[in-house]
Amino acid sequence: MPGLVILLVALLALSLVLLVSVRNRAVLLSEQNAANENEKKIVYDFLDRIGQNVTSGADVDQTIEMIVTFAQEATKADAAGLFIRDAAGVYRPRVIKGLFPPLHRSAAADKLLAKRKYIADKVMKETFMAGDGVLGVVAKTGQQLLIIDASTDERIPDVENTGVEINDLIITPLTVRGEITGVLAVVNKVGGERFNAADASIAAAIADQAAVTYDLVKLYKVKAEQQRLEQELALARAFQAILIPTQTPDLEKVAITGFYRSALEVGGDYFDYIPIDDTHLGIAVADVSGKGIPGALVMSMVRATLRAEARLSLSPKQVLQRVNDQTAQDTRDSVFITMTYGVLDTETGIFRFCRAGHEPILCCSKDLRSVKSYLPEGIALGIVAGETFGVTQEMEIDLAQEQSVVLYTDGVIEAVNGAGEEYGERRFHEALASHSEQEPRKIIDEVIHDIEKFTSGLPQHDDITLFIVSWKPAVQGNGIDQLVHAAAGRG
Amino acid sequence: MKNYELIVHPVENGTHLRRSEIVGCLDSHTVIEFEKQFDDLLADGTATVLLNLEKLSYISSAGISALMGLTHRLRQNEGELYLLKPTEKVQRVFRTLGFTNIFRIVEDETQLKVAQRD
Repeated sequence: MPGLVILLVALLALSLVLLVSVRNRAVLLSEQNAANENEKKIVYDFLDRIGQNVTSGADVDQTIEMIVTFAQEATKADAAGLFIRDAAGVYRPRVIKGLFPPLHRSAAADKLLAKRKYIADKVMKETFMAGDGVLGVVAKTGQQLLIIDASTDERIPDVENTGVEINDLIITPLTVRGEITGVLAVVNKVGGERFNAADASIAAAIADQAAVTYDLVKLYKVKAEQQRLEQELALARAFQAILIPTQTPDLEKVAITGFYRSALEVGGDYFDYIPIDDTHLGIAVADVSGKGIPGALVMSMVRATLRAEARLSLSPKQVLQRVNDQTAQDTRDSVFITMTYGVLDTETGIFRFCRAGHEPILCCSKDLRSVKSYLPEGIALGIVAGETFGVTQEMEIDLAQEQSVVLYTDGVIEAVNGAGEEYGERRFHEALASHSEQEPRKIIDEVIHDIEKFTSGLPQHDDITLFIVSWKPAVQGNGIDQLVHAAAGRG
Repeated sequence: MKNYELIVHPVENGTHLRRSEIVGCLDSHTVIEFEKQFDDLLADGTATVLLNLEKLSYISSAGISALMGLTHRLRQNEGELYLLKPTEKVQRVFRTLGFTNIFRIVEDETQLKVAQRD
């Protein structure tokens, strides 16, 4: 980045020198060579200072302040002011140096103005539109104004209105790519002199520099903000990736088959497998209501609490109750997490679970080609601590009977197509049912394919998590081995 | 194109009840305006809000968070947020989340408990 800045400054310097020499020829033909040389020296000096400023690591705001100070010194002005136009077309003071008078026409007489401090305050608050007052005239026409005798110019407010006597002034527009972006004004030449054409030429050269530098500031700011957002996103994504398991447990009688894909903006999906003891596995699917870094932080807290509590109890309700109490304490009032948490007996296939505000739990049966949906009572985590959460019900599914349990997050059913329609529960259930006789991996592939067909390539706006926990069909001739292993496991 | 509007009715003399109505959807985009509007409303001492949800077409988790936040704030002042006649679709979202246990959902105004002004 500094390299780029130096290059830009060098280019600007070159263009400025060319510009000044053109100006010199056009405006100052009648001036003496000595005066010309003097002017050139001032501009070179100015460029040196900008160069030093930039290479020494000063920020662009400081550089702009330096430019205005330089305008004041180079033209030997008592005061200088830089006004920048905002997006709404309002000109606001950006840098004011010296005793700068309030130049706005409507400046009301005020006895307090006699005090220097109050004048500065007033000037810093003063805004104008193109066309308003003497500054506005320049903002509107884009023509530099050199006023040698302000007392005869009716556009200049008098001392009773400003608190500062104005003798002479130069007002120069800041122009970038033909657009007026601000106004630079220098007021009252010191030492009993008045501003002349050479001063106007110097002011014009400096205003050109100020305009381009200010444009650069804006560019940097936009870039910096973009970078910040991108970094935050990358951080949240990396963080979420750390929290989510990359491998599914390898079990003898139960198959866990999953699909997870994070959205570009990083939704708040989380899932986990927690080994409890030799024959019990905790399984969680969750969705945090916040996104980005705040969402990832809440998720990491919930994960830590869940992992600690899961090992202490085989009751999913008890575990969720404790996680809820902890989360309700730690999170803001309005942050909540939906979660289905269940404890799977890996030997018997009994899956006991609770649904804390999460999507329904689905069961697929191969023979029936149907989907059953279970929605036991349950409240999302993090909202109400204590007793109210007690309404949450525990349920049990026998995998050996039902064959498979489908767990998912709302990213599945809220996938949106070009017409703004959601994929929805009905399509999801149909896709599951029509492939229910196939292997879990195949079912998931088909469902994801169906969602992608529905959204026809539109970007995914929320994380998608979908997995199937299924009972493995007994392998022929392997029954004895299984029994032996099961007995050893229990011992 | 913005699909959101909050209609706010003046507080009736002698009560603390603020009637209001959402038209459109409450999602992560419109929720910013919703929260700002209620910041202003609560600043004037509104303690009980009746929010008509008949014309709320969609609510996202960000929208639910906002309703939850508002409920908490009003309850801190011994007030309440009453949600009037949510559509079946919105009701289902509340039910899934278990928030029917938390929100005060009413079918008509007779179910309201409103503090009277002294």
